[in-house]
Amino acid sequence: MTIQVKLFGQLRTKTGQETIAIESGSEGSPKLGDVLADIAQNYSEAKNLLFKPDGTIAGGLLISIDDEAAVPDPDLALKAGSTVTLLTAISGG
Amino acid sequence: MSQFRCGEKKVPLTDEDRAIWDWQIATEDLGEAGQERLKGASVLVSRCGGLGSVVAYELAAAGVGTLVLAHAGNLQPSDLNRQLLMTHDWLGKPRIESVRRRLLDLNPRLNLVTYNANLSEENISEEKINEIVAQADLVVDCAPLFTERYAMNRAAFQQGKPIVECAMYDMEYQITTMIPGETPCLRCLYPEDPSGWKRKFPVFGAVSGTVGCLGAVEAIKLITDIGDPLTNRLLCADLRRGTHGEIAIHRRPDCPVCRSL
Ligand SMILES: [Zn+2]
Repeated sequence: MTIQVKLFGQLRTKTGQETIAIESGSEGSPKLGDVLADIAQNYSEAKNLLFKPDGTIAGGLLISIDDEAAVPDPDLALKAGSTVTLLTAISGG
Repeated sequence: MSQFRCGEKKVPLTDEDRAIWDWQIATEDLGEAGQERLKGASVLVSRCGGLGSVVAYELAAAGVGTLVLAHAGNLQPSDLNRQLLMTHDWLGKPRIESVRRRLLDLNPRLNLVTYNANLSEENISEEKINEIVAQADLVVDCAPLFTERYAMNRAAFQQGKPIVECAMYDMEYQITTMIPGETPCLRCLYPEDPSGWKRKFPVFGAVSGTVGCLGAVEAIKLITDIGDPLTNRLLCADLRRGTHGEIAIHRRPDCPVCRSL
């Protein structure tokens, strides 16, 4: 099962990717926390935009699943075909 | 439809006003009554950089009666790619004076209240920020630092005033309109600032100007009750790809700013 992840803001700059496809194993639904951990593992510069030092999900990250903001719960089960959009807080100036 | 109204004060138009705003008074659901609301309104724009310059310029052009503006520091060469109320001959001089000069060139009838300061609690007291926000019917947040953005969010929500959140980065923008008691606040959306955020980030003036115009449109809609504000949804654009999308956003029941509203 594949989960499409769209990246915006600094996450795009730090990973050099606009979209990442994450393949999960055949056992059960992939969890939101696993998807974020997969990105953090493959793109170490993006890790602190995804997780706080204590391992919880970063507060400057907005997670949307199929265009609806989601509670940042690492145990949230993702459905097949879901698109996860990760936005970081941005500003003016 | 929002129950919120912030354009309650109407100021009668003069013949000169009617001549200047003739083309927009022709907007069917605005009319002269809507223009009187714009004339009676006061909007805080902080800061007047790449985003806020364009917001303030469009609101001055639209005939908003009073603008409360905050923008500190002296003009630097690196401001000139996006801060459209600045001019090359003003380098080294206070930015806020250039803002005042350029806005009054366009609209000499405008009431301006200007602060050579940035509205973060590190720079000025919470009390002073409250006092500045209290002068406006609504706020357009155009600040680069999250300390400023959170300070304005707190003050606006405490005072029951809507705040239009405009933001840009690289060739992307995000915008949403927040109304106390009806929508999430900035702390609901982003409880903390992003790790490693730096004051300098990549952006074109055409990108900040795009979202600045949208921010001005949101302010005009809130004042005149035209259309549907961008509430409970975040409009996001990737101008590199020419794509736009909307995300439904929600209040956080544990939000320290707005949970009791
Ligand atoms: Zn809130």
